Amino acid sequence: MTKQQLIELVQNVHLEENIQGLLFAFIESVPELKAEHVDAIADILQYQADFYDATADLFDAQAEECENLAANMQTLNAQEQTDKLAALKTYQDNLVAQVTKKLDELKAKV
Amino acid sequence: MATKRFGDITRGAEAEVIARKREMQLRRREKRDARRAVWHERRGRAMATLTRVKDGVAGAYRNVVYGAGAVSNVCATAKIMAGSPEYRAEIADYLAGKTRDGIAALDDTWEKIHAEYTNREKALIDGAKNAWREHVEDPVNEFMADYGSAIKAGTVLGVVVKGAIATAPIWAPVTVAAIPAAVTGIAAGAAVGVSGAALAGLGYGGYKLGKAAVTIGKETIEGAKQGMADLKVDASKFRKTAEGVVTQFGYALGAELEAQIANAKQRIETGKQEFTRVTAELDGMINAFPHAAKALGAEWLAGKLGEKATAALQKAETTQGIVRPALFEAEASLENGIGTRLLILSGKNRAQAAKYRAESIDLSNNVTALRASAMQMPTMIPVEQQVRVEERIQ
Repeated sequence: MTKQQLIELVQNVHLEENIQGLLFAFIESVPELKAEHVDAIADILQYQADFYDATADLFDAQAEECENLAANMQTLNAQEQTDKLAALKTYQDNLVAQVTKKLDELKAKV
Repeated sequence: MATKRFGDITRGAEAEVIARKREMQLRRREKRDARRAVWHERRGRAMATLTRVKDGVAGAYRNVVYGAGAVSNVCATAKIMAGSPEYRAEIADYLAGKTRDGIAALDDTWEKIHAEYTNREKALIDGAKNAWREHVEDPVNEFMADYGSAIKAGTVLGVVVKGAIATAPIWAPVTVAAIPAAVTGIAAGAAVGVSGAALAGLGYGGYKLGKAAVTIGKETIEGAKQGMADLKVDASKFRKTAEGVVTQFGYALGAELEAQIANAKQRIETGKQEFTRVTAELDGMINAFPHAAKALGAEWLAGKLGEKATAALQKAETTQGIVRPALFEAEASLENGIGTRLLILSGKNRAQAAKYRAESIDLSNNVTALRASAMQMPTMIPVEQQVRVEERIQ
């Protein structure tokens, strides 16, 4: 694999902007591309892929909770609806805490 | 005459001296100007040299900075190559920040939904409370106020009836019966009305009967009195006849007449007693008649209050019939609105999740390709050397 091929690959995959910039700077600064360089970039891409998976899990969980609430809305009275919304807020807060914790764990691993 | 005078010679010499001095002065100026021109030229050359030197220094400085940047890049490269935790931690921090931003946006959305729901719920409850107060609570309060007035009226009526009881004991049972009927007239107004009407009818009938009895009694007494007067005359005549003609027969007849007189007296006495009884009865009826009229009034009042109460209750029920469906409809509308927004939000979340999932898969595919490619590429330290190093370590 050449540097140009590697640059094109980084251009074509979806990455956070500043990460992409860092990778370009890294590739350009390497005098000669070696297997370790490609492996290091593969690590970063894998890390980003894991992050997207975790984010997708978050959105899926949130969507499922919305659907459950919408389905149960007709069977709840006003007080129950208010309680349910409050419970959803608590659930969301917990979810945020879990995602933050997961990110911390990822940081600790790398 | 060409003779030169001494003064002229002196002036000529002086002029020559002055001319030489001026010439020398001019030469010095020329030399000075020439030197200055040389200096200017040298100074210009020196300044140009200095500028070139400065530029060179600046260029060298830039080269140094560039070199430092290059060194920094090399360091960063080295860090990545070494799998530096700090560098990756920086990326993780950035991603964490992005995640928190996204979650904060979700939080804002939920806050807005919750606030809207709370506001609409509050408006709905306030509207329902106002409708309930206007159409149900106020009419019921008005009815209760009327009911209180009825109770007061019944109490006053009770006091009046008690006074009537004291003055007309004969009607006490009826009046006593009328008190609870008046007090509870709202619920049993019709019954009291019937009782009052019957009482009034009874009183009026008794009044007419007594009136007729009085007339009959009076006629009876008058007839008896007239008969007795007639008999007295006849008795006197017959006694004289008997004394004069047939004494025994006259006595007998007189005794018969006296017996008739005694009988007539007895009838008069009986008629008087009956008259007294009927008169007393009639008086009682006449005395009781106002109470019966009051009972009729109480019945009428109770009937009116009952009608008003019934109307208020019907109005309240009608209003409830209007308000409750409206409440249900509003609640259903609110639920549908929130439900729709929740489903829209859910759809957006699903779309986001699908997008991230697809990007993750794409990245993973590229990671696989990169790993495969790396396997085919030369390493920074030849494999043979690595093997030797590992052998030494072992």
